[in-house]
Amino acid sequence: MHTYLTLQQLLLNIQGELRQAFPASYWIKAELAGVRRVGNHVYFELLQISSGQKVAQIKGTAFYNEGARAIQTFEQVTGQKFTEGIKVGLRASVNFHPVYGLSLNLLELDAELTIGGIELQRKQTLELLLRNQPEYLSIRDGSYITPNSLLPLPAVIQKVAVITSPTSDAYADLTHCLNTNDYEYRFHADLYESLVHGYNAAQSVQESLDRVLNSGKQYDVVVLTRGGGAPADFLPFDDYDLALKIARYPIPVITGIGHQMNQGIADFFARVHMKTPTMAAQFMIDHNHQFEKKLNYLLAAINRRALSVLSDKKNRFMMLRSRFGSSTREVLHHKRYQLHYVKSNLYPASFRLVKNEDAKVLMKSTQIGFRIPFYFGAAQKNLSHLKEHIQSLSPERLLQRGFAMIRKEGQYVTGAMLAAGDDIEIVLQNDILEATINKKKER
Amino acid sequence: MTYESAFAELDKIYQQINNEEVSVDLLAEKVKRAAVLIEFCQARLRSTEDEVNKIIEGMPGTGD
Repeated sequence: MHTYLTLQQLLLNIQGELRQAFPASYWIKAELAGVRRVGNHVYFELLQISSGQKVAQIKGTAFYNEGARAIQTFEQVTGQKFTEGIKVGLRASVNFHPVYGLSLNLLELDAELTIGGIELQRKQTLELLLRNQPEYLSIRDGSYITPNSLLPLPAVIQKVAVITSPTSDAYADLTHCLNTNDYEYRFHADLYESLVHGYNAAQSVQESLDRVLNSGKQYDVVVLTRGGGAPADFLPFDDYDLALKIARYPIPVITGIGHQMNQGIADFFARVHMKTPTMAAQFMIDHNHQFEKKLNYLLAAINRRALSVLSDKKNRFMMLRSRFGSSTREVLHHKRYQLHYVKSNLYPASFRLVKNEDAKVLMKSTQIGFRIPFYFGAAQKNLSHLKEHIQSLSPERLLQRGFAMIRKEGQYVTGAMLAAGDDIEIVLQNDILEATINKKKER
Repeated sequence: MTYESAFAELDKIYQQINNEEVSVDLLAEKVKRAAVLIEFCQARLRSTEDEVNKIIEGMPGTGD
């Protein structure tokens, strides 16, 4: 005869043994799968994958009090949803229930491990992106430089393409904020529906970005956003392809993805990173307000300048007008003085000129008078010289010096008029000799 | 003839006479010309002054 235990008895024994063998709680690293929320409790599977092979699996439970609160805290701290596919570090107690079997009861989650895991993965993706796409991506002063991050924002943002889930509050929050802004700026926002949570979100957002470009509308910015409030997973926004698409996107991208702790790669590569839809809307409102402030400043500056120019011109005009009469009279007075000066000096100058000429004439005449005695003296001298010379040539003087003159028939003659046999008179100083020429010969 | 050209000519004649650059043969002619110019300038000045005074008195708010 067999001794039977009831099933419950056996399982209670196992439960007792296990409690003795594993009395404490333990820190375990595992991957999450099959997360279900039932009421206030959360059920899930914990897996260990090694070289692609599942090497361990167990049910996990998080009960309303400790476990569910640990999950809530974990999601708030990491910004990562407690969901399939993530690696977690958890403290759990071993639990065996006669009906529900073996499970690990979650007591505490290690946020640091998950953050570290997410960050490690993000870091690896970023490194890969930088290595593969150096023509688009670079780091300067710790910030990522992408073509999108360098796009200029228009002075005023008005046409907005919003990529988000229609079931989240993001679109409503964003448009409400845009439409009720204090400055009454008008925005035109178009919704481009997209998944923003879960595995397919990265692909869906990329398709929405393509639809924005293909719409043919000229958008000032694209706002990529999702519902605020609930903690959400980063993973889609750390996606390699989505990040690269945003980096190269030709329209400035503003993100409002709701990360509590960190930024995703999509945030790094976008033109503007904001945390929530409301903050993204506020950024655009503030941006436009900056422009309006600039306009108002210019307006005030132009008014000030115009008024100052006007008053300056007016002052100068008043001054000119008040001086006009006196200046004109001054000029006339000066002209009159000039004319008077010339007039009063002209006639005296003319007379002076005549007088000077007169003086010159007088001087000439005096000079001439002075010269006349000398002139006559010299002439007198010349005359007496001449007289003496002439006197020295007179016949009397010649006869005195012993010369003789010959006369024939009462006339004084020269040798040519005489011939042999002529009767002549030889006239001396005191005597006359009568003679006959015997002979005539050549001298 | 403008006032300026008339005065310039007059001034030139004056300078020439003053510097005795005018020959006596031409002096009478020059002085005669100067007298014509003086009369012209004076007439022009007087008529301008009258006109200016009239205009200035006609200006509103001129305290001058």
